[in-house]
Amino acid sequence: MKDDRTNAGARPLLEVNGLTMRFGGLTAINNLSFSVQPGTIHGLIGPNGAGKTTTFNVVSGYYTPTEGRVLYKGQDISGLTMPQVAARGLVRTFQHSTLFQEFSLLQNVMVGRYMHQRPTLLGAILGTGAKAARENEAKARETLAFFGLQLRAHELAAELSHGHQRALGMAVALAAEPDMLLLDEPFTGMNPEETRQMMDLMFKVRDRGVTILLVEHDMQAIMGLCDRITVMNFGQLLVEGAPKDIRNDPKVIEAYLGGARHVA
Amino acid sequence: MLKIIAWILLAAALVVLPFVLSYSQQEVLVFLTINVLVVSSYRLLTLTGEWSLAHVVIMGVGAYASALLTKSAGFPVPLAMLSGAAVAGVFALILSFPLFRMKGFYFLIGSFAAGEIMRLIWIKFRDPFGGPKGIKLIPGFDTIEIGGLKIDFFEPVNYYFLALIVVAVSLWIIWRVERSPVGLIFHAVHWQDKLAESVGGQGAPLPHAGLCHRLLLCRFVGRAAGALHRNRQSQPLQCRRDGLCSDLGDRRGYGHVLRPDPGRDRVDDPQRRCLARTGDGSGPAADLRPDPDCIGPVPAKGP
Repeated sequence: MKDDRTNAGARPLLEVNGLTMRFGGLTAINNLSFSVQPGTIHGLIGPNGAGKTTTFNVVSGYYTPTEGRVLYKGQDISGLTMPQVAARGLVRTFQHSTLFQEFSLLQNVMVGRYMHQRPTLLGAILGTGAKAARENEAKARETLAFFGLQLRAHELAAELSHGHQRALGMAVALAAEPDMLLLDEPFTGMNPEETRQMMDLMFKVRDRGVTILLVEHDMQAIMGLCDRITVMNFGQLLVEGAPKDIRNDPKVIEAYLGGARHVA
Repeated sequence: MLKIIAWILLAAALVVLPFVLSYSQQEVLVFLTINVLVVSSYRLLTLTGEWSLAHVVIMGVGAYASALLTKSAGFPVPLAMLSGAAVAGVFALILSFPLFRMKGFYFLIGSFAAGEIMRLIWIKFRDPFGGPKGIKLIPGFDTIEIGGLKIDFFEPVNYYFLALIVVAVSLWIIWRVERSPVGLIFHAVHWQDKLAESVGGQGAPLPHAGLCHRLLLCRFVGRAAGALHRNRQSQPLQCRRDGLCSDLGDRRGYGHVLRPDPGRDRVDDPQRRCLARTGDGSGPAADLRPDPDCIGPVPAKGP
């Protein structure tokens, strides 16, 4: 299902240039640079504490970088808030099953449609915007159907299995109609069957024209999914390349296993 | 069907209720009706998961603004009530900018501090807020005439129905907002604010939440200001030779309430029994002069 999309020749959709993030005396990210081509699935991996999630948080607007720039579609988005970044078409998901557990599946996805509806108080009181609301609900149902959850639209999110909850998390993000999705450890806690289904979903999302940047520890999934992989260690770029190159890179093996001589 | 019957019964009970109560109970009923809105409107703010301790203080802003506009700027009472609501809304919107930078416990404490500052301003600045006793001599709600039907808002029953209409409309607005996409975002911000933000769910809704809270609040702020008008009519004081004065004339159904002359404790001569205010009645205590004949009416004290 994977084909070579890394030489699309287009300008990178996302460029991270000299990114540094310090928390007091701790440097979580140190002069990190990488880029993501449009229409690709790009992996960001590294051992625990390498700074992957911090990188995600900076790119998505959760943190303001100490130094460096994040360019999205050629525009500097470093320092923007999460809603502002989302409004530009870059939407993220969170580790674990971060959902509106008390909402139905449909309501969860409707929240994802917020940017496209822009409801107003006056509209809410006067009942105007009903047509827009209907259209958004139709889009939300369409998104649920894309993830195979349409028959459970009125069930509570809390009642879903772990795998379905992760799929719903992606549905919420996809409902915002992003150009790029940042997925934070989407395979955590999944069994092999759920992992396979999730990989299929990601290919489907990619085929809809959505670029994906994901942080993940599941190497099987990463190697099977990604067109390109960036490896981080101690907050710095360790190596970048295609999955087959990364798999055999001694620096990567050393970072994960503590040295090539230890690999049996 | 059962729901409709329940609503009809409730409406009927609310219409009949004031007629089976005594005059003083009707007064209580008016304030009870206002307080239904105070509590209900608080729900809208808490939908976002934040608890504000400035809620009632904002109500006070509307009431003071309304009273001052009536007394000092000569606004008709209905216009002053609406203007008081607008002032409270704008004031709260401005206040929301620093307060919305906080959340959770910090928001709670921040809102408490903001409310306390406002309360102290009202108490410490006698001019124009009247100090601890509040603003007095506020012109009352005129009797209105609709097609030959005269409605006197000094009557608590009439005032109750006015309050009931305002409260019903306000509750309907709250209900509409909560069931709308805006309400969904309020809930979303409550349960997972970061997730809501990640799909753009903060840019507008939180300021909206503040404004919404304020606007709805304003409805009863205006109403409360009306109640303030009503209870602080410029009824003349009737002073007796023994130094006791009465106010609140018979028109509202009360008997004369005797109390010490309010000016006595503010003049040097303890022998003065009754005092009249010089000028237009709005000056400080130093302007009080003895009333030689000690007969009423003597204008009530100003701020």
